[in-house]
Amino acid sequence: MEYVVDTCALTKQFRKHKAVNNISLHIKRGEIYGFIGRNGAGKTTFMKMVCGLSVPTSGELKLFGAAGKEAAKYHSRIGNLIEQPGLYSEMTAWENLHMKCLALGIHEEDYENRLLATVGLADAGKKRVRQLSLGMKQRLGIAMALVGKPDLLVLDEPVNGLDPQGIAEVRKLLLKLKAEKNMTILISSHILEELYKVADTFGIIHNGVLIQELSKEELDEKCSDYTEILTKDAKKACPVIEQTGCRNYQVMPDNSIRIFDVIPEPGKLNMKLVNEGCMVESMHMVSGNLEEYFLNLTRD
Amino acid sequence: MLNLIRMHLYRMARSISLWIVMVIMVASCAFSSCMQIVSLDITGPLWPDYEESESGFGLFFSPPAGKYGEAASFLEFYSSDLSSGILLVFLSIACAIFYGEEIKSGFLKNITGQTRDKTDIFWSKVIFTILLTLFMMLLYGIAKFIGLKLLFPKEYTLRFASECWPAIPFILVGNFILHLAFAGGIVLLTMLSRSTTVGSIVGIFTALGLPGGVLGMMEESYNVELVKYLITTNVHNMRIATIYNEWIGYSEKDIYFALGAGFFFFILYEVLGAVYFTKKDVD
Repeated sequence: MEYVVDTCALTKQFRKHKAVNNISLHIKRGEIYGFIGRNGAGKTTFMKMVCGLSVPTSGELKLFGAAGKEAAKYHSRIGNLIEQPGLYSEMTAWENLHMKCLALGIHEEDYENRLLATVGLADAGKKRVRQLSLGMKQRLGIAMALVGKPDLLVLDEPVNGLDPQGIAEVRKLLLKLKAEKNMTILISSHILEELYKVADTFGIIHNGVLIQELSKEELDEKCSDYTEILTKDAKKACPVIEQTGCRNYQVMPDNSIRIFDVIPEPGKLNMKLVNEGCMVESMHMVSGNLEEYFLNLTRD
Repeated sequence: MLNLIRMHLYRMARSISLWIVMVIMVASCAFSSCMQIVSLDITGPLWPDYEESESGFGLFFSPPAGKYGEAASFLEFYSSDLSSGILLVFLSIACAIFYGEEIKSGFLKNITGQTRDKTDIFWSKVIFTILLTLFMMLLYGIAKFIGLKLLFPKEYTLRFASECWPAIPFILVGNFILHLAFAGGIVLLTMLSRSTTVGSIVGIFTALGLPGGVLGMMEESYNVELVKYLITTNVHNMRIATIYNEWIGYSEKDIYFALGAGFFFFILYEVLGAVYFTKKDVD
């Protein structure tokens, strides 16, 4: 399988602090890869290395199948929006785009206006950047990333500051880019539900370490509904639960037990627990969600 | 590389703050012309004897020194102005603003990855600094020429270079290299400090002669020669009078020394800048 981005033990160290620690991540061609992590987890640093804005301390970064110095040649095929959009506030939206077109040697007629229309800023071309709202600046940042028709788009918190309508428009745009241009997109966002709507694969990063990489299907499985049993004696309850054939369960710090497998007869389980002298305070179904799953994974 | 230079030129054309600096520079040029002519009027003749220029902290516009019996030419006025350090002041502000805006905006993030070689961006900056220095020298020259012509249409008979034609390459090339080296230093400082304010304030105070004063005191204390190596010192010495009037105390040898100092600092600043720019992550 051809990976657009394939890293092996990629590390970035700032003095003694490892911002990115041995990350081995794989992004397939044409997929949207959602990068999840808390603030300061290392997402931006990783994305900067992918874009060629930062040099790794160690490890290997393969881009479009090429490694080493060959990989650096492919940075030209990566558009990025890292942190805040890099824009000159005294210049207009059109002029900022034109600047990047000049730098990349793009001289297509009406190119800037078409890009502005793509991100829904067709009427804002003549506005100075300082007059644009935060959301409009973000959209302009995405337009800047699209200059040069990149094959890989790296977007760091692209929906930051957008209103719900703007978020929906960006989502639509990303899905359109993927469908029509087979564009590969690496995207990070703290709005997990939003990321869930667009991404095909998810990478969860915590303290610089990639703690999980999973497909949407796998994530769906992990974030599935579960039965929560509140009991004061979890140790006693566990063998009873296993006797019913449930293997996929988790004892939480508060002694509650989460059973992710489907329990065919919850009443019978309740009875068995009581018979074994394990008092059940409550037993109920809980709908799982991405946020909770993420918080559990990244709990220190 | 050419694309990147075009981009810098486009931004220069659209930068309001940069044009404000240019306008103030032109106004200062007109003002200095007025003051020089007033000074000449006070001292009497339009063909003044050479007077040792003042030195110390500040900008000092000496009346241009023509040869006995001759009116000072345009080039004498021009070189006299450049030696005062006025262009250094505006050049440092312009460079600090231009490169400070680039750092503040974060625009480099947009192009660094997609540019084939990161060093291309640095060298495009160097070439742009060369063009900016040339442009500002030219603009100042044009402003001076027009200013003299408009302010004193009758009293002043304008001649371009009188008999000092051989001095023209020295004056223009020498001043250009020294000003370019100074601009390179300010660009480096702005990049390192990531601050327009630091770049422009240090540039202004250096152009006004502060380091010369400090190093002068050190020279007295430690019995070493330091002031003569400064770019500002060499700019002050780079005048037609210096070349033409050997009796002043400066010789062609000193001019070559100034050129050497200019080249040395230009290369030094650019090498340091290149190392810093290519090694540092883009923010």
